Amino acid sequence: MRADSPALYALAGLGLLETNQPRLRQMIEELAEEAGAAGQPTAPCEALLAALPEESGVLEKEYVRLFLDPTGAPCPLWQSAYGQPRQLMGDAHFAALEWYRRYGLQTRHSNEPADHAAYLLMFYGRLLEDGADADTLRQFSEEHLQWMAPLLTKIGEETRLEFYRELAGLLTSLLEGAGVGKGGEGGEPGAGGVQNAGDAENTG
Amino acid sequence: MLTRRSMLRLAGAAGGSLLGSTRLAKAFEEVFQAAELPAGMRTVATACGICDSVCGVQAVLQDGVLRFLGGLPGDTNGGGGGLCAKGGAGIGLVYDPDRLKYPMKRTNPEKGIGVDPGWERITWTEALDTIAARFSNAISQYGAESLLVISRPSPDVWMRLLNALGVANRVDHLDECYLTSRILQRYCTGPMSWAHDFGNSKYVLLFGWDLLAKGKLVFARGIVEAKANGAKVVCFNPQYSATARFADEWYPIRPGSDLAVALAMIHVLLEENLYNQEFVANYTNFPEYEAAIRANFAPYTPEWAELQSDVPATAIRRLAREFGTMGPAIVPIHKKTLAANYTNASQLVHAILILNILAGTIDRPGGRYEARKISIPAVDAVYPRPAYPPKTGRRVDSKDRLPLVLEDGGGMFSTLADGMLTKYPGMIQAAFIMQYTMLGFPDPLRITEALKTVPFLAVYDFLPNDVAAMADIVLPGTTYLEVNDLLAREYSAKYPVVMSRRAVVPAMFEAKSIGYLAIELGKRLAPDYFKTPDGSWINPGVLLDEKTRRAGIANSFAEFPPSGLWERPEPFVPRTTFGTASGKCQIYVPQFVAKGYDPLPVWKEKRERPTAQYPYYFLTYIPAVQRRNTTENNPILTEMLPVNVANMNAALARGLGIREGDLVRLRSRTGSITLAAHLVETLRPDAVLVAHGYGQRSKLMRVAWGRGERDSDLIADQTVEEMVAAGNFAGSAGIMEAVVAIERVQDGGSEA
Amino acid sequence: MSYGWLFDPKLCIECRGCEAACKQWNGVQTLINVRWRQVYEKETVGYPTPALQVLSLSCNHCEKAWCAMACPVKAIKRRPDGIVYIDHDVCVGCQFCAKFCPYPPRPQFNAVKRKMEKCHMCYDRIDQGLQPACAANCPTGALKWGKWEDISSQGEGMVEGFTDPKHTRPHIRFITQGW
Repeated sequence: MRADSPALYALAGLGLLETNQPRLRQMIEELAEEAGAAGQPTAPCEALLAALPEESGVLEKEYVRLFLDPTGAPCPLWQSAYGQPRQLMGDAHFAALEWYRRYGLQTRHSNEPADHAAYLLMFYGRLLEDGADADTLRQFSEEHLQWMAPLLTKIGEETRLEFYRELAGLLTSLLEGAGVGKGGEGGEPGAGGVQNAGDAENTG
Repeated sequence: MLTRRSMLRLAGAAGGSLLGSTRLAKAFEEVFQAAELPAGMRTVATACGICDSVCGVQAVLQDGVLRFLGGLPGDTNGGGGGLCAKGGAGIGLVYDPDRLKYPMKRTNPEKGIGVDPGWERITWTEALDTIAARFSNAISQYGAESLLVISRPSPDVWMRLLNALGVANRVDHLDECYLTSRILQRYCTGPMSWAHDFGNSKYVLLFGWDLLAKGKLVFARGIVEAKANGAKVVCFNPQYSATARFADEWYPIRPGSDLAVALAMIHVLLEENLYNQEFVANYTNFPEYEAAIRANFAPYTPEWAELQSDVPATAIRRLAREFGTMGPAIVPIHKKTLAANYTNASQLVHAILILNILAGTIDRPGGRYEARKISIPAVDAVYPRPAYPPKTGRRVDSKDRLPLVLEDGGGMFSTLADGMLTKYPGMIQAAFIMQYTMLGFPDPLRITEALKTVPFLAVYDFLPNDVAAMADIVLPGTTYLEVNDLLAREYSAKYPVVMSRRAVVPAMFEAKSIGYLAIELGKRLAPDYFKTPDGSWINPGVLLDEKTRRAGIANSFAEFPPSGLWERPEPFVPRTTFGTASGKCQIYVPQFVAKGYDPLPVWKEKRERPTAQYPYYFLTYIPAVQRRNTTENNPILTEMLPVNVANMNAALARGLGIREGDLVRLRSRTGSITLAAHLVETLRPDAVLVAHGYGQRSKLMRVAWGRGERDSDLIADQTVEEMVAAGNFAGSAGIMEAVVAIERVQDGGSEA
Repeated sequence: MSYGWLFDPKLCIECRGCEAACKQWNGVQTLINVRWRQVYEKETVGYPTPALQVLSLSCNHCEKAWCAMACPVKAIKRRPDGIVYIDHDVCVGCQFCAKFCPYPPRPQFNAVKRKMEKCHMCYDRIDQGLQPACAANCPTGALKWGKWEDISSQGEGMVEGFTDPKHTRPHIRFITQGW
């Protein structure tokens, strides 16, 4: 797996966002074609394509179950959900906004968390393609990719679809390429108490 | 086929072809967009117009309304992306509720300070017709000398009108500003230069120069750069100000004696041959006049200077040696401080220029240099005109009695009242005043009396100040945020930089630009001078487009770079010839001899020294939050310094039985004012210091009215005869000449 | 992640650009003596060798914010990024916060709205990736704003004229090193 395939990071990230099967298929196919023409390995894309379910709606159902279920999805995709306290739009959201902003970008939907795993991966791909230096890449990956390691493990365990297992595996490899350790700390999305505004001991 | 990955820069290229495949790129664009300000907000690059630094401004509008003025990113040789309080509060000028909104005519025939004019709204057409008729009548009945126009000599179309009418009495405040400096520079080093290469200076000598305390950002940043590069800064000033904080040594010099120290330093540099030999030999007229030069400065020993200035002789000698050896050295010159505070200004500016010449830093790294500019054509280059009639008639400000002032063209406020009341009473039949308040004149009571004698007065301004309140017709003017213009950088330009000033918001109410005014009056009074070759009237927008195009900047003003900055970086090539008569820097000025002036600076004391009746020096300063005409009524700025006070040294106050907050009356031979005393450690104990910019008497300026006192009430005006007698040949108003008595009026306060 | 101020007094020219920017961006009411950021000038040595100490200060968004602890109606809140702000829907203007805050300019009472006001670090600007207005407009870099993790290792926590920071851990550092 080429660690510096920006498109692959973005694509893998999109795998955590896109639920429209035909569209996803087309994107993977297009990338495979491009990789082939550039003499790069096409195996990751082909593996994803092979794992993509045929029947419509299957992907979407599993996506909702894994990531969005309001009764308690096992694998929320926002970095803030893994912080203290466990709530959305936390520090990671603001930090991500600042990263995007520094590069002249912002998310289109400002009322949604900016620290979605897919967004962070797509942005990392953008950093790679733009030739960001090693320090920048390392800093972003420590701040905004590292946390995904246990999430990916969980996805692999929880999912009933080969596609998401394959995707989690691809992402784990990509993250290793970005210098992120496997499995690791971070643990479960935490259960935090109500924070006393007067005492900021627990925030960074 | 396949798309190649592009290497577009991230910033500014939202959704450029990224990540190879178009589908992926499109998906990226569905998640990310180009970063922008909150909804409804947009930014416009423009240039501040509060002072002449012309710092870049990024105006932020929300739904078309001005919300914020920030510094302009990329403005490295200006405000550096920052803005001082005056600039940052500029929105308060545009949206001032007291602002002049419509042309108005006076219905109350009585004129005076604090008198309500009883204004009635009229149309621009009626206003212009009336003004044109009154001017025309005055000229035909009494000649062009009967018109007095108190305005700066810009813009070019305004001067075209005045010149077309043969107006000889255009008067501005330059004797209170940089008239003396411009004249001396013309004879010593060339055209007036404003730019200082502080970043490369290693030794900075400040004679009263106080531009950090006034918030002049480009110079402040220059001094910061100099200090960061290890420069030594020495400050002579009776006041320890925000500028003095940046000095390694500060001397509370006796007011008006900077000349003595400068002469003594030149003495040391010559005696010990510590001047830049190469520069002086090749680029100055020193070799030609060496004997006379050395002889001139021989008597001015540091010991002698100590007696005049209270600066120790040992310090003067050491500082001169440092100046001569720790270079590149620079003595900055700006406006009033050297050129208008005292009547020995002509000699002082000459001496300061000599110091810079001896340092060898004229148009050299670390020194004062001529801004490099491109040629932006003026209206004459775009639209030819008939020849102007000669300017004849008596000069109401007596500038014709000072040949160098007449040659320069600058005006004099300090002699104006004498001209209108004593020398030529009744000569002025019609007057036009553009953007000046009463605070700006020495002895405002006297100038008020003078203006009362004029049968017709028209005023163009933004705010209903005390001058506007004297008008028969008042015209609402546009602010810098409501007009388009091109501005070539002067204060810092090693290569040409041009700023755009943009109409960020449409003109409020019926405010019109000076360009509009000039052309409309021109149509009525001098039509032949305001037509284009095809017979149509000159149009300000078209004229600006032509200037932009001919200057090689863009095809039209609208196409000026949206960044607000146009630059042409090119290497700085130091001058080898200078714009003087001889082509060299002139230490000795032979042209002065022919006119009966000293070719080299000689010692002259300040005109007024403490006496038993008036024992203390009256000093004034411009606080960082005030600037003539534009800031008095601004609530944000007023909050920062709501009222002016009588600053005096705590020891002086104790000696006089004055406590913090007590009301004190300051009395000079001209007038008196009453202020609260404020005890400080940052002032010589024989002086009292008052901020300029307060004492606005027009009730129509509801924030400014009633705040503080006019420092200028204590400042005497002068006759041209006095100026000649004092050797004040280059036209200094002597703003800080006054001496005062201090008297406690009543208890106001507490122990300090 | 949180933010803080870095102030270098030797670079300050007292232009008060920071004060004006704050007032202008935040629409702070004028002429009622409420200024969220202020430049303080104090004489520290007497004539004939005077010295001036200059500080530009606003709210320091303390880690242990006494203002928030003192507020009897819990109107003073903290964002996840540490910014301490007053919720005007809750504030009753009792001024307790001002009494407990150790640092000028302290929360200030707006006599017209009858609420307390103070600097909220222009969080609306921060959320758009901009700096607070004051730091954005500083022409010499005397006043800087940034991530606390970058700032907290710089300069000193204390400078003459500033209250001892050890009690509330204010997010400000001062560069005390000379030229």
